Amino acid sequence: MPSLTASDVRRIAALARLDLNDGEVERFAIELAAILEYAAQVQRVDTTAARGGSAEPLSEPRMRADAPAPSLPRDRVLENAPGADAAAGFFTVPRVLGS
Amino acid sequence: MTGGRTPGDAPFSSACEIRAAIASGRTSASEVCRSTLDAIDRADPALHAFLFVDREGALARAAELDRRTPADAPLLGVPVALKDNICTRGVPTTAGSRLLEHYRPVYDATVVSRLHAAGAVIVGKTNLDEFAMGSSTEHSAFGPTFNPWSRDRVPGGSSGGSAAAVAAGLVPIALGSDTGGSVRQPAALCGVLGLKPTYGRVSRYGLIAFASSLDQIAPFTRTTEDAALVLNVITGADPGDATTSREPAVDRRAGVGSVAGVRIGVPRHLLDGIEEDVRARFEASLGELTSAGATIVDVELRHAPLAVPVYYLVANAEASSNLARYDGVRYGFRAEASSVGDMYHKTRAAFGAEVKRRIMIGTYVLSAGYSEAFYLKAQDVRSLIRRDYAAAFASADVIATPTSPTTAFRIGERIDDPLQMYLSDVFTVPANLAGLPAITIPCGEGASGLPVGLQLTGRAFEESMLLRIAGAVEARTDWLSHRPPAV
Repeated sequence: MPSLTASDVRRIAALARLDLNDGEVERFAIELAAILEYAAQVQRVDTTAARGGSAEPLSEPRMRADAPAPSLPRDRVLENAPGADAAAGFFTVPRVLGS
Repeated sequence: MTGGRTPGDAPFSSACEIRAAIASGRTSASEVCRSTLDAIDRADPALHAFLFVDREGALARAAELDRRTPADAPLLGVPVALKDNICTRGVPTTAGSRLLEHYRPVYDATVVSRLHAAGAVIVGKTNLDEFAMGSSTEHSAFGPTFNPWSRDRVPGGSSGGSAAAVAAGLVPIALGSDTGGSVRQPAALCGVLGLKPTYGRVSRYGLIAFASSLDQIAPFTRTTEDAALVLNVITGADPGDATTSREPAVDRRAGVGSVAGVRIGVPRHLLDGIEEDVRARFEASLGELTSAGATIVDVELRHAPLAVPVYYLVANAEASSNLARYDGVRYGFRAEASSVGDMYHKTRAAFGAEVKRRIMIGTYVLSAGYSEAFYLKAQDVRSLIRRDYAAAFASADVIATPTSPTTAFRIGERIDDPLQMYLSDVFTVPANLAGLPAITIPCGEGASGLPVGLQLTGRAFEESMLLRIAGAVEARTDWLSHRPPAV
């Protein structure tokens, strides 16, 4: 546990929407396996006493009043958006459907 | 404060000295600002602590303060530097990443608004590991920061620029963010004070998210009094961050008081394998505290040795989710592409190697078939770590360890060995996992001449106790006033 093949690395990269070059795939197969093997020591711990521990919040969440408030100005927000159509008030992206 | 210069103007002045000097008319916010900018100009080429110096903005702000001085502004005219993952309206905020190289936020982080309201002058943005992921500042896309104590050493990380700026006397206060030790470890390696508040003390609104259940904005200072002062300014409930607490703020005078009778727990079982310099200074600090009236008691934190693996599972899982937003649509870099899917992949290829590595680990441990064995299991162990602290605090008021197992390591020494780099955080990650406050205070230099830090972890919302102990150490030693030889 756990050895990673190049195709494992490519599968994870696809889930993360990351383009990796061949060198990165080769390097990550080795590095990620070592890191995951190190991290896998948590699996040997008896956690019966703490099962579902992620349900213990660090702070009590609070609800705020569901009242409308101003949001960030659209024109200013679009100044940071690559290729935005500021006049129309749109973000733009390359083609989604078809080729 | 040498050479007959006004205390408020000279490098290494404290925030309290600067505020007093301006309030009494001995100097002005503009004079302090100019001398700060000059000092940065002289020192920063050798340090690379800053990614951006806001010369015009800072001078304009200082002039405004001089025109109509707010009567009781607690940080009147005090120059402050911010880690470059804290959003500043209209001022570049890069997170040390090519993806945000040209990003200028449309809004201020809550801590920035509070600093402004307190009369602070923000002079610039400091270097960091990309998206705060690292322990050496070598993972910045814009090149490393150098340790003011020795330029061939790292300043620690990820908030290495803020630590170096304070250590070099350029600013009395800098803010960083501490997700697994990113303020305390560089503070220790640079010989300054770093205080990670309790999770929920300080609003994260406007902090570029890394791991949301661990992130906390935290100050660097050279004195205990300044740490209490700035913490008092930046804490408090904020509608912009639902996890902020309504606990009363930490008193500005929290660093004053006796430590007689305070019980300091030491988990000796965690101290194997630390560097000799670190061990010697740590034991000497415990001796100082004992002679100040504190009692040393043994405590056990049974699951703490698992904190690093738990941290790298939990933090990276959260990071892979938080960093999904860098898709080239709304802000930041966008790669040329013919389809939207292609654009996502090519844009995100601009992340640096460490960020990619962590996104990959996080994605793996959250993926179908693995999340139970890795992510959920890690969360359960995290609960056990928290319970260990609760048990230890029955017999101790604070828990003491070294802040880092080593003094500052050489630039390049660990860059190609991610696991070795992660082990830099062995003493700091438990406080983040447990949501507890923790401080690092300088405890002198080892035989190597490099600074060593003493870490104290306290009960939730008991920052005052940490500051009181820091104040006692400061009063009995001159460690906090030690200056790097090169500056």
